[in-house]
Amino acid sequence: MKHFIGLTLLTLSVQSFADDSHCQPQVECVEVGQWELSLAVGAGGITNPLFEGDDIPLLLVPYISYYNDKLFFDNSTLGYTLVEAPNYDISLVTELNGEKKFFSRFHPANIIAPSGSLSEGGKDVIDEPVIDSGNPTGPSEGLDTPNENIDPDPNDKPVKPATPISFKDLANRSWALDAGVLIHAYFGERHKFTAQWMHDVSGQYQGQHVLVSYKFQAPLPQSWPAKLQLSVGGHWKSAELIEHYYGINAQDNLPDKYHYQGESGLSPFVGVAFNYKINESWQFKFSAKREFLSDEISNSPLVEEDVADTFFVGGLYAFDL
Amino acid sequence: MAASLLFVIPHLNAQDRSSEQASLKIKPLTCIVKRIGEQCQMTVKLSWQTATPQNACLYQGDTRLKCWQAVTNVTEPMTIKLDKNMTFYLRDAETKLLAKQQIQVNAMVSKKYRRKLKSDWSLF
Repeated sequence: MKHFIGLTLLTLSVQSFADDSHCQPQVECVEVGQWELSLAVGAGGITNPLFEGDDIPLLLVPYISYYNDKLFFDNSTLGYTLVEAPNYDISLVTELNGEKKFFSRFHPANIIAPSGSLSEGGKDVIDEPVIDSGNPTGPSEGLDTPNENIDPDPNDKPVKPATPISFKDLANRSWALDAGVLIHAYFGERHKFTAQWMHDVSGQYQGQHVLVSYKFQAPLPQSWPAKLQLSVGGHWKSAELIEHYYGINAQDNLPDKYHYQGESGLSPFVGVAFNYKINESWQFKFSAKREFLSDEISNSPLVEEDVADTFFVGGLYAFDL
Repeated sequence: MAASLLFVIPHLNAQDRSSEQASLKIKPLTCIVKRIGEQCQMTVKLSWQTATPQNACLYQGDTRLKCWQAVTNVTEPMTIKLDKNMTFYLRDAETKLLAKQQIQVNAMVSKKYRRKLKSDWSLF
C-alpha cells in the first residue's frame, strides 16, 4: 500500500519545480521529494465525550508524510497546493473526517469478551432509556414517567434523558471522506492563520465543516532548540454533520420520542504544543488541546461530556530514510 | 543529420554574437545561497562598453534596473537580488539588445524545502 501511494504520487507529481521556496526557519519545513517517517512514543489520549465511549489512547503515534512540489501526503491528508506565496498558501485537500473516532466500536474487550447483545450494525432495538426530565425532542411527546418529574427547560432546548443513550446501541456511524480547501496566512514569523473548508464527498453525512484557527509561536531563548506554539480557534459543523453523528433518528430504531435533531454548531478550542529537539533523531513533544463542544453536540443524548481533550507527552523519533 | 547539426549550431552562435553591439560584464558570475529557492543579494561589479555613445538601460529579465545617457563605457558597483538563474540585458533606447550576461544561483545544499501544511492527523 505504501509503495502504491508513493508510486501514485511520483507519477502524478509535477516535475517542474518552482524556483522559489517560502519556507522560513521559523516555519516547519519539509524536504521536497523525501518520505518522512516519525514515531511518537509516550503517554496520552483523546477523551471521548460520548456516553460509554472509550477514550482513545495515544501511546504510539506514527507520522508519515511526502511532499512533492505541489502534491503532498501528510498522515491522513492528501493535498495539492495551488499557490504558495510568501504570506499565504492555498491547497486542495482530502482527508478522513475525524468525527467517527468517537464512535469506534473496536476495543480489546470486544475481542476478548464480545457481549453478543447487539448485532454488528447495532440496529437492534434496545430497552428504552428511562426519562425523568423530558425527552430529547421536547416535552410535547409522550413520556413514560410521571408528569411531576418533568422539569421544563426554560430555553426550550432538548433535555437529555436521565440515562444517556449509548451510541453502541444505535446504527453504526460511518467513516466519511471530506474534500475541500486549506488556506494558511502568515503574518511575520510568529502568526499563522488557518482556514479549512471541507465537505463530505463520500455521501455519508452530506454536510460540511469549517475550521478556523490562529497559532502564535511564542518567543523562546535563541539557544533553545525548541518551539512553543499556542493556538485558538473554532470548528463549525453543519446540521447534516451533527445530525449524522450525534442525532438520533429513524435508522436508530428508537421510538420517536428519543429522536434528536442535529443543528449546526461552533465548537471553540484552545491548544498548546511544545517541542524540544534533543538530537538529530529525538525530540521531546508535549501537546494539549481542549475542544469545547457546541451546545448542538453536547445536548445530544449520546454525549456525556461538554469537552473533548487531547493530550500527549513523550518522545518523537525521526527515522532516517 | 549529425553533420548538419554541427553546421547549424556554430552558425546560430555566430548570429547571436553578431547581434550584440556591446560588451557586458557582471562579476561575480555566481551567487551562492544556502538552499535552493533562497533569495541571493550581492554587490557585483558591472561594466559595459560600446563603440559609440549610447542611451542604454540594464534589465534583469524584464525588469529595468538602471539607465545611462550618451555614454560609451560604464564601470560601477551594483547590488542585485535574484532567487534563480537570471539573465541581465543591456538594451538601447529602442530596447534593442546590445549585450547580455547570465548570473547563476548555486545552492550549498541541493535539497529543496517547502512548508509543511498539516501538522497532525486529521483524526485528532
